[in-house]
Amino acid sequence: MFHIKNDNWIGRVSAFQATKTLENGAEYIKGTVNEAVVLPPKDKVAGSYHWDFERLLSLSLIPLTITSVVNGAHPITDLCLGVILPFHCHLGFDAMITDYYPSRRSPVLNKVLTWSLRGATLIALYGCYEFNTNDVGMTELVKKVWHA
Amino acid sequence: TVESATGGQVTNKDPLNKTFNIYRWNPDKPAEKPHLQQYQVDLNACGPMVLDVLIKIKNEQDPTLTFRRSCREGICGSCAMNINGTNTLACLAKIDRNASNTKIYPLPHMYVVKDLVPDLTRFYKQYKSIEPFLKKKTAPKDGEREHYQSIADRKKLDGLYECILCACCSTSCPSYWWNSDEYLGPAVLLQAYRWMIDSRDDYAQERREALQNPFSVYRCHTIMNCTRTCPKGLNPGRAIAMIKKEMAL
Repeated sequence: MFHIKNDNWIGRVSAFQATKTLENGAEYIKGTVNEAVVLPPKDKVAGSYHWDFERLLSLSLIPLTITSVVNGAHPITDLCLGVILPFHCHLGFDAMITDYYPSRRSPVLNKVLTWSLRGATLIALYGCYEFNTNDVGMTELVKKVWHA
Repeated sequence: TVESATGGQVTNKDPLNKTFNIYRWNPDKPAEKPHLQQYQVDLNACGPMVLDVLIKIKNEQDPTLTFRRSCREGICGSCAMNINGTNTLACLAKIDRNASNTKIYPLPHMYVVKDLVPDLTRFYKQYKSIEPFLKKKTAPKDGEREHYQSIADRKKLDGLYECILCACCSTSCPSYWWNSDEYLGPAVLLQAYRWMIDSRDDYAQERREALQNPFSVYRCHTIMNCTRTCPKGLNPGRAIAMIKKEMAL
């Protein structure tokens, strides 16, 4: 809420200094009105490399899916799908966690969710491997469900 | 009735009364919750734009109604607000004469100073952080007074320099709603791009590198509310995509 510091006119002007604080993570204004916002520290891996990798995976899924649909099941395309799909979904969910529970605002929940997601991705990777190796494979599965 | 400026014959127009629901909140009484206040306005005795209605209400009905305005022609960016769910400039938003009521809210997900006035402090601080000025690495040579730029290079700035920083686009972006402290928002990113591709600026690489983090640019998920809502017809979504392309080294 708004804090009114004192009752004179100076207090009134600074009264709208809405100090919505969640510790220091999401304080409304850091520094004075005239200071520029401090940009986060530079990190190409978390920045453009991450974005590049995301698009690389997404792009590679297109020919992969098309060949699987056209040519049917094949161990190599199933292997690729079984690796790329979990990673692609992991990146998608990770973006959602960063959007809605960023670490500066919800440090605990962010950690819990990130590690749960990593665990889930590992399980998915293992599951895909199991399914591709000891069962019909992902493309066959989709085919069977589709024609069920 | 409508008065004629020249005193000639004027056909009497029946009053066309419409309701306007306007968001009100008074910081002098902070415990009172924000509420919608209804006003009836005769559209036949008022100018065509929403800003005309607001000024008429303030003049004739309620002088405490507070809003920002200046140029009344869509160039200053002061009167940015949410009208019937869309962020536009009130001075450019034509009143819907067929609708029974019009809803006027401040820009969404911004702290409200009073009534329709949002607190744009962080928006301006973010604008400052991208260093929106020409930066050269070498001093100008003796006798050289202008920074020359070809017509083709100047054309690259079209659609970017016209931004009036009204904040309609940034406040329409859900990513900016959820992460306005770290995501720069479409308006600021449009200007960042404007300086990145200005041929007279020598610091394009450094400008790109300054945005290398998960938040400043990459919270954009091409929702495209920004381009949809820009009252000047600019395309911040495309500018952000071009930034991402330039940064994908």
